[in-house]
Amino acid sequence: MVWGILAFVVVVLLVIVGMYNSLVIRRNEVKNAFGGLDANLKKRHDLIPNLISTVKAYMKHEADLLTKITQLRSRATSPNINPSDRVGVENQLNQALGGLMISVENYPDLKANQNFMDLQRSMNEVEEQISASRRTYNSAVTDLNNGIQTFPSNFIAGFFGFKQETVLKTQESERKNFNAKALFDQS
Amino acid sequence: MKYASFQHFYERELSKTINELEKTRINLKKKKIKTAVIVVAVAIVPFYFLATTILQSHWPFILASLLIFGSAFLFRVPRGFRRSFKDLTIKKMIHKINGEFKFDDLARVPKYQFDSSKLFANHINRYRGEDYIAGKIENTNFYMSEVLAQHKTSGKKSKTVTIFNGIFFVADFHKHFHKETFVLPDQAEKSFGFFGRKLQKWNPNRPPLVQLENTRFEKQFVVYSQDQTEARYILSSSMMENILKIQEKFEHNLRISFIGSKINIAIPLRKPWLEPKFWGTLINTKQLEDYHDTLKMVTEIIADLNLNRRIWTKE
Repeated sequence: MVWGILAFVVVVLLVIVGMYNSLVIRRNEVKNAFGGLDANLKKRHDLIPNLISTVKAYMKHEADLLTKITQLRSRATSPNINPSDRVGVENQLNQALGGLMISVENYPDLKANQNFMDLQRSMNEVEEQISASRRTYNSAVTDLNNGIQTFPSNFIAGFFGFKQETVLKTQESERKNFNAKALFDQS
Repeated sequence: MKYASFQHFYERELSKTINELEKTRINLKKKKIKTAVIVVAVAIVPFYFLATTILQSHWPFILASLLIFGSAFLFRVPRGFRRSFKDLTIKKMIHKINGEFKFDDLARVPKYQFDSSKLFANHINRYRGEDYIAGKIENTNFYMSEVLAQHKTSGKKSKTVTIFNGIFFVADFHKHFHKETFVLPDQAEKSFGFFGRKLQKWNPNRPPLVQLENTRFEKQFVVYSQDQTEARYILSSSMMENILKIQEKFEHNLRISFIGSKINIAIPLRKPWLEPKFWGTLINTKQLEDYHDTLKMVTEIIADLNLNRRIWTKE
Protein backbone atom coordinates (compact mmCIF):
# COMPACT_ATOMS: atom_id res chain seq x y z
CA MET A 1 0.00 0.00 0.00
CA VAL A 2 2.76 2.43 1.07
CA TRP A 3 4.77 1.55 -2.03
CA GLY A 4 1.70 2.09 -4.15
CA ILE A 5 1.16 5.59 -2.73
CA LEU A 6 4.86 6.35 -3.09
CA ALA A 7 4.84 5.22 -6.72
CA PHE A 8 1.74 7.35 -7.39
CA VAL A 9 3.42 10.43 -5.82
CA VAL A 10 6.59 9.87 -7.87
CA VAL A 11 4.56 9.57 -11.08
CA VAL A 12 2.59 12.75 -10.28
CA LEU A 13 5.84 14.60 -9.49
CA LEU A 14 7.40 13.42 -12.76
CA VAL A 15 4.33 14.60 -14.68
CA ILE A 16 4.51 18.01 -12.97
CA VAL A 17 8.24 18.32 -13.72
CA GLY A 18 7.59 17.28 -17.34
CA MET A 19 4.83 19.86 -17.77
CA TYR A 20 6.85 22.60 -16.07
CA ASN A 21 9.90 21.88 -18.27
CA SER A 22 7.74 21.81 -21.37
CA LEU A 23 6.35 25.27 -20.49
CA VAL A 24 9.85 26.62 -19.83
CA ILE A 25 11.03 25.26 -23.20
CA ARG A 26 8.06 26.88 -24.96
CA ARG A 27 8.69 30.21 -23.21
CA ASN A 28 12.34 30.07 -24.27
CA GLU A 29 11.29 29.32 -27.81
CA VAL A 30 9.18 32.47 -27.79
CA LYS A 31 12.17 34.49 -26.57
CA ASN A 32 14.39 32.90 -29.17
CA ALA A 33 11.87 33.57 -31.95
CA PHE A 34 11.58 37.19 -30.84
CA GLY A 35 15.38 37.43 -30.99
CA GLY A 36 15.26 36.22 -34.61
CA LEU A 37 12.57 38.74 -35.48
CA ASP A 38 14.55 41.50 -33.79
CA ALA A 39 17.69 40.59 -35.77
CA ASN A 40 15.77 40.83 -39.05
CA LEU A 41 14.18 44.14 -38.08
CA LYS A 42 17.69 45.43 -37.36
CA LYS A 43 18.76 44.32 -40.84
CA ARG A 44 15.98 46.52 -42.23
CA HIS A 45 17.08 49.43 -40.05
CA ASP A 46 20.63 49.05 -41.41
CA LEU A 47 19.41 49.27 -45.01
CA ILE A 48 17.35 52.43 -44.51
CA PRO A 49 20.17 55.08 -44.42
CA ASN A 50 21.59 53.74 -47.66
CA LEU A 51 18.15 53.65 -49.25
CA ILE A 52 17.38 57.24 -48.20
CA SER A 53 20.70 58.57 -49.51
CA THR A 54 20.13 56.79 -52.85
CA VAL A 55 16.56 57.99 -53.43
CA LYS A 56 17.05 61.52 -52.05
CA ALA A 57 18.86 62.68 -55.16
CA TYR A 58 15.94 61.66 -57.39
CA MET A 59 12.84 62.17 -55.25
CA LYS A 60 12.20 65.89 -55.18
CA HIS A 61 8.63 65.83 -53.90
CA GLU A 62 8.83 63.22 -51.14
CA ALA A 63 11.03 65.09 -48.64
CA ASP A 64 8.38 64.72 -45.90
CA LEU A 65 8.11 60.98 -46.42
CA LEU A 66 11.90 60.57 -46.31
CA THR A 67 12.12 62.60 -43.11
CA LYS A 68 9.32 60.52 -41.58
CA ILE A 69 11.14 57.28 -42.44
CA THR A 70 14.38 58.61 -40.89
CA GLN A 71 12.55 59.64 -37.71
CA LEU A 72 10.70 56.35 -37.41
CA ARG A 73 13.96 54.47 -37.84
CA SER A 74 15.56 56.52 -35.06
CA ARG A 75 12.62 55.80 -32.76
CA ALA A 76 12.66 52.08 -33.56
CA THR A 77 16.38 51.80 -32.84
CA SER A 78 16.22 53.88 -29.65
CA PRO A 79 17.37 51.81 -26.63
CA ASN A 80 14.61 53.33 -24.44
CA ILE A 81 11.64 52.22 -26.50
CA ASN A 82 9.30 49.72 -24.82
CA PRO A 83 8.24 46.55 -26.70
CA SER A 84 4.58 47.55 -27.29
CA ASP A 85 5.58 50.96 -28.72
CA ARG A 86 8.22 49.21 -30.79
CA VAL A 87 5.60 47.08 -32.57
CA GLY A 88 3.62 50.22 -33.45
CA VAL A 89 6.70 52.08 -34.70
CA GLU A 90 7.83 49.11 -36.80
CA ASN A 91 4.38 48.90 -38.37
CA GLN A 92 4.43 52.61 -39.20
CA LEU A 93 7.92 52.23 -40.64
CA ASN A 94 6.76 49.34 -42.77
CA GLN A 95 3.84 51.39 -44.05
CA ALA A 96 6.09 54.37 -44.84
CA LEU A 97 8.58 52.18 -46.71
CA GLY A 98 5.68 50.73 -48.70
CA GLY A 99 4.62 54.27 -49.60
CA LEU A 100 8.17 55.08 -50.66
CA MET A 101 8.29 52.04 -52.96
CA ILE A 102 5.03 53.13 -54.62
CA SER A 103 6.38 56.67 -55.14
CA VAL A 104 9.42 55.23 -56.92
CA GLU A 105 7.06 54.43 -59.81
CA ASN A 106 7.13 58.14 -60.69
CA TYR A 107 10.92 58.20 -61.10
CA PRO A 108 12.04 56.02 -64.04
CA ASP A 109 15.68 57.12 -63.67
CA LEU A 110 15.72 55.95 -60.06
CA LYS A 111 14.14 52.61 -61.01
CA ALA A 112 16.94 52.06 -63.51
CA ASN A 113 19.68 52.94 -60.98
CA GLN A 114 21.80 49.85 -60.25
CA ASN A 115 22.44 50.82 -56.66
CA PHE A 116 18.72 51.25 -56.07
CA MET A 117 17.92 47.94 -57.75
CA ASP A 118 20.40 46.17 -55.46
CA LEU A 119 18.89 47.89 -52.44
CA GLN A 120 15.42 46.95 -53.56
CA ARG A 121 16.44 43.29 -53.79
CA SER A 122 17.94 43.46 -50.31
CA MET A 123 14.80 45.14 -48.96
CA ASN A 124 12.59 42.46 -50.53
CA GLU A 125 14.73 39.77 -48.95
CA VAL A 126 14.69 41.41 -45.53
CA GLU A 127 10.90 41.86 -45.75
CA GLU A 128 10.52 38.14 -46.52
CA GLN A 129 12.79 37.27 -43.62
CA ILE A 130 10.84 39.55 -41.29
CA SER A 131 7.63 37.89 -42.43
CA ALA A 132 9.15 34.41 -41.83
CA SER A 133 10.43 35.46 -38.37
CA ARG A 134 7.04 36.86 -37.47
CA ARG A 135 5.40 33.57 -38.44
CA THR A 136 7.97 31.65 -36.37
CA TYR A 137 7.31 33.96 -33.43
CA ASN A 138 3.53 33.55 -33.76
CA SER A 139 3.88 29.78 -33.97
CA ALA A 140 6.01 29.75 -30.78
CA VAL A 141 3.50 32.03 -29.03
CA THR A 142 0.57 29.80 -30.05
CA ASP A 143 2.44 26.79 -28.73
CA LEU A 144 3.12 28.51 -25.40
CA ASN A 145 -0.45 29.81 -25.09
CA ASN A 146 -1.83 26.33 -25.84
CA GLY A 147 0.29 24.97 -23.00
CA ILE A 148 -0.92 27.70 -20.63
CA GLN A 149 -4.59 27.29 -21.53
CA THR A 150 -5.03 23.53 -21.88
CA PHE A 151 -5.75 21.04 -19.10
CA PRO A 152 -3.85 19.96 -16.99
CA SER A 153 -0.80 22.12 -17.74
CA ASN A 154 -2.93 25.25 -17.09
CA PHE A 155 -2.63 24.46 -13.33
CA ILE A 156 1.15 24.34 -13.51
CA ALA A 157 1.22 27.52 -15.62
CA GLY A 158 -1.01 29.32 -13.13
CA PHE A 159 0.99 28.11 -10.13
CA PHE A 160 4.36 29.14 -11.57
CA GLY A 161 3.09 32.37 -13.10
CA PHE A 162 3.53 31.66 -16.81
CA LYS A 163 1.96 34.46 -18.84
CA GLN A 164 0.33 34.31 -22.25
CA GLU A 165 1.95 36.25 -25.07
CA THR A 166 0.25 38.11 -27.91
CA VAL A 167 0.60 37.05 -31.52
CA LEU A 168 1.76 39.72 -33.98
CA LYS A 169 -0.88 40.50 -36.55
CA THR A 170 -0.12 41.40 -40.15
CA GLN A 171 -1.16 44.97 -40.81
CA GLU A 172 -3.66 45.58 -43.61
CA SER A 173 -1.20 48.14 -45.00
CA GLU A 174 1.51 45.44 -45.19
CA ARG A 175 -0.69 43.30 -47.39
CA LYS A 176 -1.22 46.31 -49.64
CA ASN A 177 2.52 46.92 -49.69
CA PHE A 178 3.09 43.40 -50.83
CA ASN A 179 0.72 43.88 -53.77
CA ALA A 180 2.40 47.13 -54.67
CA LYS A 181 5.73 45.34 -54.65
CA ALA A 182 4.38 42.73 -57.01
CA LEU A 183 3.25 45.47 -59.40
CA PHE A 184 6.59 47.14 -59.03
CA ASP A 185 8.33 43.91 -59.89
CA GLN A 186 6.41 43.44 -63.11
CA SER A 187 7.31 46.81 -64.55
CA MET B 1 7.34 26.45 -84.13
CA LYS B 2 4.01 26.84 -82.31
CA TYR B 3 1.30 24.21 -82.57
CA ALA B 4 -2.40 24.71 -81.91
CA SER B 5 -2.72 21.40 -80.08
CA PHE B 6 -0.90 18.16 -79.48
CA GLN B 7 -2.88 16.60 -82.32
CA HIS B 8 -1.59 19.32 -84.63
CA PHE B 9 1.98 18.68 -83.48
CA TYR B 10 1.48 14.94 -83.90
CA GLU B 11 0.22 15.30 -87.46
CA ARG B 12 2.99 17.74 -88.45
CA GLU B 13 5.96 16.20 -86.70
CA LEU B 14 5.33 12.70 -85.42
CA SER B 15 2.85 10.75 -87.52
CA LYS B 16 5.29 9.92 -90.33
CA THR B 17 7.97 8.74 -87.89
CA ILE B 18 5.44 6.79 -85.82
CA ASN B 19 4.14 5.04 -88.94
CA GLU B 20 7.71 4.05 -89.86
CA LEU B 21 8.35 2.82 -86.34
CA GLU B 22 5.09 0.91 -86.38
CA LYS B 23 6.27 -1.01 -89.46
CA THR B 24 9.55 -1.81 -87.68
CA ARG B 25 7.64 -2.90 -84.59
CA ILE B 26 5.39 -5.28 -86.56
CA ASN B 27 8.44 -6.82 -88.27
CA LEU B 28 10.29 -7.19 -84.97
CA LYS B 29 7.24 -8.73 -83.34
CA LYS B 30 6.90 -11.26 -86.16
CA LYS B 31 10.59 -12.07 -85.86
CA LYS B 32 10.25 -12.60 -82.11
CA ILE B 33 7.30 -14.93 -82.49
CA LYS B 34 9.13 -16.85 -85.22
CA THR B 35 12.20 -17.20 -83.00
CA ALA B 36 10.01 -18.28 -80.11
CA VAL B 37 8.42 -21.05 -82.19
CA ILE B 38 11.85 -22.24 -83.36
CA VAL B 39 13.24 -22.22 -79.81
CA VAL B 40 10.25 -24.21 -78.54
CA ALA B 41 10.51 -26.70 -81.39
CA VAL B 42 14.28 -27.17 -81.35
CA ALA B 43 15.22 -26.86 -77.68
CA ILE B 44 12.29 -26.97 -75.29
CA VAL B 45 10.36 -29.95 -76.67
CA PRO B 46 13.28 -32.42 -76.43
CA PHE B 47 14.12 -31.07 -72.95
CA TYR B 48 10.51 -31.45 -71.90
CA PHE B 49 10.52 -35.15 -72.78
CA LEU B 50 13.83 -35.55 -71.03
CA ALA B 51 12.53 -33.85 -67.88
CA THR B 52 9.29 -35.80 -67.76
CA THR B 53 11.11 -39.08 -67.99
CA ILE B 54 13.61 -38.16 -65.23
CA LEU B 55 11.50 -35.97 -62.91
CA GLN B 56 8.22 -37.80 -63.60
CA SER B 57 6.36 -34.50 -63.64
CA HIS B 58 6.01 -31.96 -66.39
CA TRP B 59 4.57 -28.96 -64.45
CA PRO B 60 7.74 -27.59 -62.83
CA PHE B 61 9.46 -27.70 -66.17
CA ILE B 62 6.63 -25.97 -68.05
CA LEU B 63 6.31 -23.20 -65.46
CA ALA B 64 10.05 -22.58 -65.23
CA SER B 65 10.43 -22.53 -69.01
CA LEU B 66 7.54 -20.13 -69.49
CA LEU B 67 8.84 -17.82 -66.78
CA ILE B 68 12.45 -17.70 -67.95
CA PHE B 69 11.69 -17.66 -71.63
CA GLY B 70 8.83 -15.18 -71.28
CA SER B 71 10.62 -12.59 -69.17
CA ALA B 72 14.00 -12.82 -70.84
CA PHE B 73 12.91 -12.87 -74.40
CA LEU B 74 9.30 -12.18 -75.22
CA PHE B 75 8.51 -9.25 -72.96
CA ARG B 76 11.70 -7.38 -73.42
CA VAL B 77 11.40 -4.52 -75.86
CA PRO B 78 14.39 -4.67 -78.27
CA ARG B 79 16.97 -2.10 -77.21
CA GLY B 80 17.51 -0.68 -80.70
CA PHE B 81 13.78 -0.18 -81.17
CA ARG B 82 13.42 1.59 -77.79
CA ARG B 83 16.30 3.91 -78.58
CA SER B 84 14.93 4.73 -82.03
CA PHE B 85 11.53 5.51 -80.52
CA LYS B 86 13.05 7.83 -77.94
CA ASP B 87 15.38 9.50 -80.38
CA LEU B 88 12.74 10.06 -83.03
CA THR B 89 9.68 10.89 -80.98
CA ILE B 90 10.47 11.72 -77.34
CA LYS B 91 13.31 14.03 -78.29
CA LYS B 92 10.99 15.89 -80.69
CA MET B 93 8.38 16.17 -77.96
CA ILE B 94 10.94 17.63 -75.56
CA HIS B 95 12.15 20.08 -78.19
CA LYS B 96 8.58 21.09 -78.86
CA ILE B 97 8.41 22.26 -75.22
CA ASN B 98 11.81 23.95 -75.42
CA GLY B 99 14.33 23.65 -78.23
CA GLU B 100 17.25 24.20 -75.82
CA PHE B 101 16.53 21.26 -73.53
CA LYS B 102 19.01 18.39 -73.60
CA PHE B 103 17.88 14.78 -73.63
CA ASP B 104 19.85 11.58 -73.07
CA ASP B 105 17.77 8.42 -72.86
CA LEU B 106 20.59 6.43 -71.22
CA ALA B 107 21.63 8.97 -68.59
CA ARG B 108 20.02 9.67 -65.20
CA VAL B 109 20.16 12.01 -62.23
CA PRO B 110 23.40 11.03 -60.44
CA LYS B 111 22.95 8.85 -57.38
CA TYR B 112 24.82 11.34 -55.18
CA GLN B 113 22.20 13.98 -56.01
CA PHE B 114 19.39 11.55 -55.22
CA ASP B 115 21.09 10.59 -51.94
CA SER B 116 21.89 14.17 -50.99
CA SER B 117 18.22 15.15 -51.39
CA LYS B 118 17.65 13.01 -48.24
CA LEU B 119 14.04 12.51 -49.31
CA PHE B 120 14.07 8.84 -48.43
CA ALA B 121 15.38 7.59 -45.13
CA ASN B 122 16.09 4.07 -46.43
CA HIS B 123 19.52 3.09 -47.66
CA ILE B 124 19.50 2.78 -51.46
CA ASN B 125 21.79 0.05 -52.79
CA ARG B 126 20.15 -0.46 -56.17
CA TYR B 127 19.84 2.62 -58.30
CA ARG B 128 18.79 2.80 -61.93
CA GLY B 129 17.47 5.53 -64.14
CA GLU B 130 17.00 6.78 -67.69
CA ASP B 131 15.59 9.58 -69.82
CA TYR B 132 17.65 12.45 -68.47
CA ILE B 133 16.39 15.92 -69.42
CA ALA B 134 18.25 19.12 -68.54
CA GLY B 135 17.84 22.75 -69.39
CA LYS B 136 17.34 26.30 -68.29
CA ILE B 137 14.08 28.21 -68.12
CA GLU B 138 14.85 31.94 -67.90
CA ASN B 139 17.20 32.08 -64.89
CA THR B 140 16.52 28.65 -63.49
CA ASN B 141 18.60 25.58 -64.30
CA PHE B 142 16.99 22.19 -63.85
CA TYR B 143 17.52 18.52 -64.59
CA MET B 144 15.46 15.40 -64.12
CA SER B 145 15.17 11.75 -65.04
CA GLU B 146 13.21 8.64 -64.32
CA VAL B 147 14.66 6.88 -61.30
CA LEU B 148 14.17 3.45 -59.77
CA ALA B 149 15.66 3.37 -56.27
CA GLN B 150 15.57 0.12 -54.34
CA HIS B 151 16.82 -1.34 -51.12
CA LYS B 152 18.05 -4.92 -51.22
CA THR B 153 18.19 -6.56 -47.85
CA SER B 154 21.09 -8.84 -47.04
CA GLY B 155 20.94 -12.29 -45.48
CA LYS B 156 19.49 -15.60 -46.58
CA LYS B 157 15.98 -14.35 -47.28
CA SER B 158 17.17 -11.31 -49.18
CA LYS B 159 14.44 -9.27 -50.84
CA THR B 160 14.33 -6.10 -52.87
CA VAL B 161 12.03 -3.28 -51.79
CA THR B 162 11.25 -0.42 -54.17
CA ILE B 163 11.73 2.84 -52.32
CA PHE B 164 10.99 5.16 -55.21
CA ASN B 165 9.93 4.76 -58.82
CA GLY B 166 9.19 7.93 -60.71
CA ILE B 167 10.50 11.27 -61.87
CA PHE B 168 13.24 12.93 -59.85
CA PHE B 169 13.42 16.65 -60.53
CA VAL B 170 16.13 19.07 -59.37
CA ALA B 171 16.15 22.86 -59.89
CA ASP B 172 17.95 25.93 -58.58
CA PHE B 173 15.97 27.63 -55.87
CA HIS B 174 15.50 31.39 -56.15
CA LYS B 175 16.26 32.28 -52.53
CA HIS B 176 19.39 31.82 -50.46
CA PHE B 177 19.17 29.28 -47.68
CA HIS B 178 21.70 27.38 -45.60
CA LYS B 179 19.85 24.67 -43.70
CA GLU B 180 17.79 21.64 -44.77
CA THR B 181 14.01 21.65 -45.10
CA PHE B 182 11.76 18.73 -46.05
CA VAL B 183 8.16 18.69 -47.25
CA LEU B 184 6.84 15.12 -47.06
CA PRO B 185 3.44 13.46 -47.44
CA ASP B 186 1.49 13.63 -44.19
CA GLN B 187 0.72 9.96 -43.67
CA ALA B 188 0.79 9.83 -39.86
CA GLU B 189 -1.67 12.68 -39.32
CA LYS B 190 -4.00 11.38 -42.04
CA SER B 191 -4.08 7.92 -40.46
CA PHE B 192 -3.96 8.72 -36.73
CA GLY B 193 -5.14 12.35 -36.48
CA PHE B 194 -4.00 14.16 -33.34
CA PHE B 195 -1.78 11.25 -32.22
CA GLY B 196 -0.27 11.13 -35.68
CA ARG B 197 0.81 14.73 -35.27
CA LYS B 198 2.41 13.88 -31.93
CA LEU B 199 4.19 10.93 -33.58
CA GLN B 200 5.56 13.21 -36.29
CA LYS B 201 7.39 15.17 -33.59
CA TRP B 202 9.33 12.08 -32.62
CA ASN B 203 10.68 11.15 -36.05
CA PRO B 204 14.34 10.28 -35.37
CA ASN B 205 15.28 10.42 -39.07
CA ARG B 206 14.24 14.02 -39.51
CA PRO B 207 15.06 17.45 -38.07
CA PRO B 208 12.43 19.20 -35.87
CA LEU B 209 8.84 19.49 -37.03
CA VAL B 210 7.62 22.83 -38.42
CA GLN B 211 3.94 23.60 -38.00
CA LEU B 212 2.66 26.00 -40.59
CA GLU B 213 -0.47 28.09 -40.50
CA ASN B 214 -1.92 26.95 -43.84
CA THR B 215 -4.32 24.19 -42.75
CA ARG B 216 -4.85 22.82 -46.27
CA PHE B 217 -1.09 22.50 -46.67
CA GLU B 218 -0.74 20.94 -43.22
CA LYS B 219 -3.35 18.31 -44.13
CA GLN B 220 -1.34 17.22 -47.17
CA PHE B 221 2.22 17.61 -45.93
CA VAL B 222 4.45 17.39 -42.92
CA VAL B 223 7.39 19.79 -42.81
CA TYR B 224 10.71 19.20 -41.06
CA SER B 225 13.54 21.70 -40.95
CA GLN B 226 16.82 22.44 -39.24
CA ASP B 227 15.71 26.09 -39.00
CA GLN B 228 12.15 27.14 -38.18
CA THR B 229 12.48 30.64 -39.64
CA GLU B 230 14.31 29.53 -42.78
CA ALA B 231 11.57 26.93 -43.42
CA ARG B 232 9.00 29.74 -43.31
CA TYR B 233 11.23 31.94 -45.47
CA ILE B 234 11.23 29.17 -48.12
CA LEU B 235 7.62 28.14 -47.59
CA SER B 236 6.00 31.54 -47.90
CA SER B 237 2.19 31.66 -48.13
CA SER B 238 2.31 31.76 -51.93
CA MET B 239 4.88 28.92 -52.09
CA MET B 240 2.60 26.69 -49.98
CA GLU B 241 -0.33 27.38 -52.29
CA ASN B 242 1.83 26.69 -55.35
CA ILE B 243 3.03 23.38 -53.92
CA LEU B 244 -0.60 22.41 -53.26
CA LYS B 245 -1.41 23.26 -56.87
CA ILE B 246 1.33 21.03 -58.29
CA GLN B 247 0.32 18.23 -55.91
CA GLU B 248 -3.23 18.47 -57.32
CA LYS B 249 -1.91 18.46 -60.88
CA PHE B 250 0.14 15.30 -60.43
CA GLU B 251 -2.40 13.53 -58.20
CA HIS B 252 0.48 11.86 -56.40
CA ASN B 253 2.16 12.26 -53.05
CA LEU B 254 5.08 14.55 -53.77
CA ARG B 255 8.22 14.66 -51.66
CA ILE B 256 10.20 17.89 -51.70
CA SER B 257 13.48 18.89 -50.10
CA PHE B 258 15.41 22.15 -50.05
CA ILE B 259 19.10 21.44 -49.65
CA GLY B 260 22.26 23.18 -50.84
CA SER B 261 20.47 25.95 -52.80
CA LYS B 262 18.43 23.37 -54.75
CA ILE B 263 14.88 22.13 -54.67
CA ASN B 264 14.52 18.36 -55.14
CA ILE B 265 11.13 16.89 -56.02
CA ALA B 266 10.27 13.20 -56.18
CA ILE B 267 7.15 12.50 -58.26
CA PRO B 268 6.02 8.85 -58.14
CA LEU B 269 4.74 7.23 -61.34
CA ARG B 270 2.29 4.36 -61.57
CA LYS B 271 2.77 3.57 -65.25
CA PRO B 272 5.88 3.32 -67.47
CA TRP B 273 6.81 6.70 -68.89
CA LEU B 274 8.37 7.61 -72.26
CA GLU B 275 8.44 3.92 -73.24
CA PRO B 276 7.26 2.53 -76.59
CA LYS B 277 4.57 -0.13 -76.75
CA PHE B 278 5.86 -3.30 -78.35
CA TRP B 279 2.98 -5.77 -78.22
CA GLY B 280 0.33 -3.18 -78.97
CA THR B 281 0.16 -0.57 -81.69
CA LEU B 282 2.38 2.50 -81.53
CA ILE B 283 -0.22 4.58 -83.32
CA ASN B 284 -1.74 5.63 -80.05
CA THR B 285 -1.90 9.40 -79.80
CA LYS B 286 -3.51 9.20 -76.35
CA GLN B 287 -0.43 7.57 -74.85
CA LEU B 288 1.94 9.99 -76.56
CA GLU B 289 -0.18 12.90 -75.41
CA ASP B 290 -0.05 11.58 -71.83
CA TYR B 291 3.75 11.46 -72.04
CA HIS B 292 3.80 14.98 -73.45
CA ASP B 293 1.42 16.33 -70.79
CA THR B 294 3.48 14.85 -67.95
CA LEU B 295 6.65 16.27 -69.50
CA LYS B 296 5.02 19.68 -69.74
CA MET B 297 3.73 19.51 -66.18
CA VAL B 298 7.20 18.71 -64.84
CA THR B 299 8.90 21.53 -66.75
CA GLU B 300 6.11 23.90 -65.69
CA ILE B 301 7.01 23.31 -62.04
CA ILE B 302 9.51 26.17 -62.41
CA ALA B 303 6.76 28.57 -63.46
CA ASP B 304 4.24 27.09 -61.00
CA LEU B 305 6.61 27.62 -58.08
CA ASN B 306 7.62 31.04 -59.40
CA LEU B 307 11.29 30.04 -59.36
CA ASN B 308 12.12 32.73 -61.91
CA ARG B 309 10.95 35.47 -59.59
CA ARG B 310 14.36 36.91 -58.82
CA ILE B 311 13.50 39.88 -56.65
CA TRP B 312 15.76 38.76 -53.80
CA THR B 313 19.52 38.94 -53.55
CA LYS B 314 20.03 35.61 -55.37
CA GLU B 315 20.33 36.27 -59.12
